[in-house]
Amino acid sequence: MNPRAPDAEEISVVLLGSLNPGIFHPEWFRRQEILSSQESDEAKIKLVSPEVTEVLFLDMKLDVFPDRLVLETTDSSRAEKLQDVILNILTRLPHTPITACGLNDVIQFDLEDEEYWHRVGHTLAPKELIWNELLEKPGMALLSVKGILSGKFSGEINVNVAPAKRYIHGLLVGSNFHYPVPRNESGTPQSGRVVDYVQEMWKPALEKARGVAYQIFEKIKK
Amino acid sequence: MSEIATTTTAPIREVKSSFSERPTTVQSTPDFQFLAANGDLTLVEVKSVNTTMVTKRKPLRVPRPLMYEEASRLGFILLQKWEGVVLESDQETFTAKLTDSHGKLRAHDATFARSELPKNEQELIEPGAPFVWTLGYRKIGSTRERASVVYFRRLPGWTEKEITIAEQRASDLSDSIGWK
Repeated sequence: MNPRAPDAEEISVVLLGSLNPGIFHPEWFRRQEILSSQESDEAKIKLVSPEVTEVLFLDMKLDVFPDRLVLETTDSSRAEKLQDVILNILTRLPHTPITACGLNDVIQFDLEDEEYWHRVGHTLAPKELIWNELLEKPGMALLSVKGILSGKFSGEINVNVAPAKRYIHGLLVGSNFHYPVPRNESGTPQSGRVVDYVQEMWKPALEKARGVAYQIFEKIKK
Repeated sequence: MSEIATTTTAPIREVKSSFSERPTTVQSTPDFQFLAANGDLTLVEVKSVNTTMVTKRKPLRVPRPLMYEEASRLGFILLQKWEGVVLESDQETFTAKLTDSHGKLRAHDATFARSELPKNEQELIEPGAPFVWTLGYRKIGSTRERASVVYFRRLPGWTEKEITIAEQRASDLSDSIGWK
């Protein structure tokens, strides 16, 4: 295992479906015993409305739109907290139709080495075959690779590799574990499966996300 | 914010936003309004151009929503994560079994001071309670400091259905053993 720890990490969960942004007020979280009174009082409300909600609590940011909920944190020590909040939301709203769920982990590394930084880009996106003849100083701006998520939860894994803009020679590896919720015979999404997905795939997804980054370092030596 | 709603990828935002103190003037009927925690009233007009009703409302001075600030500027460099279960506790401490989250290191027991946790979380300490112990560096601006974070899980309780299923499975297992 590569000992290199990420220099920044952003973990998020995205739910797609039919949502009611107006209910996601810190007071609702308190009444549902998802947040304590103190945590609810300390929450920062940017906006709570039927159309859009944006609330900050527990070092997380919650955005809710009628078709989309995003809960994210830039503090990886809060990962399980975030998972618990999502599970609690889902179990408190069992009749909310959820059509897809994404577990996302964006990891950034400061490579601090221009030569190695270019080598990673040139190895992942070779320039010799096509680009050198067409462009001056071609560089990899974004590499997207899609894979299949098989097993109990069928879906897809989308990996993006790009320069991390917050560092001069940074590398960003973003992984999206996308799970389209199966529908029953009447076409209704089986939203209850999302709870199982978040419970069972959380740890494997985060480990896989890191595994992608470590594989890059393993295969492309400094 | 304009991302297509068929992906579950969180957008990587370069631009953040926050409320500006700068007021703006609204002279027509708002489509909806909201009251911020600090008492600021913001009006949002989406389809006021379709309004044919004459408004008698006087112009209001309200904050103009601009860019939002980052959710958290505190980053965390994760070095090690342990999954723990409380074995026993007393007034001052609790002892737990710790398992390496990545399965690389051996499990072991450890004793923590209750004061590692905020007051409101100490009531969660009881035998069997699961928690996560994260070690790493917390980044504050350009500096970093060692950090140890203990978080007690707040998982949803078992539902009646889940309990019934578990009882049935236990019963089936017991019957399958064929005690003599």
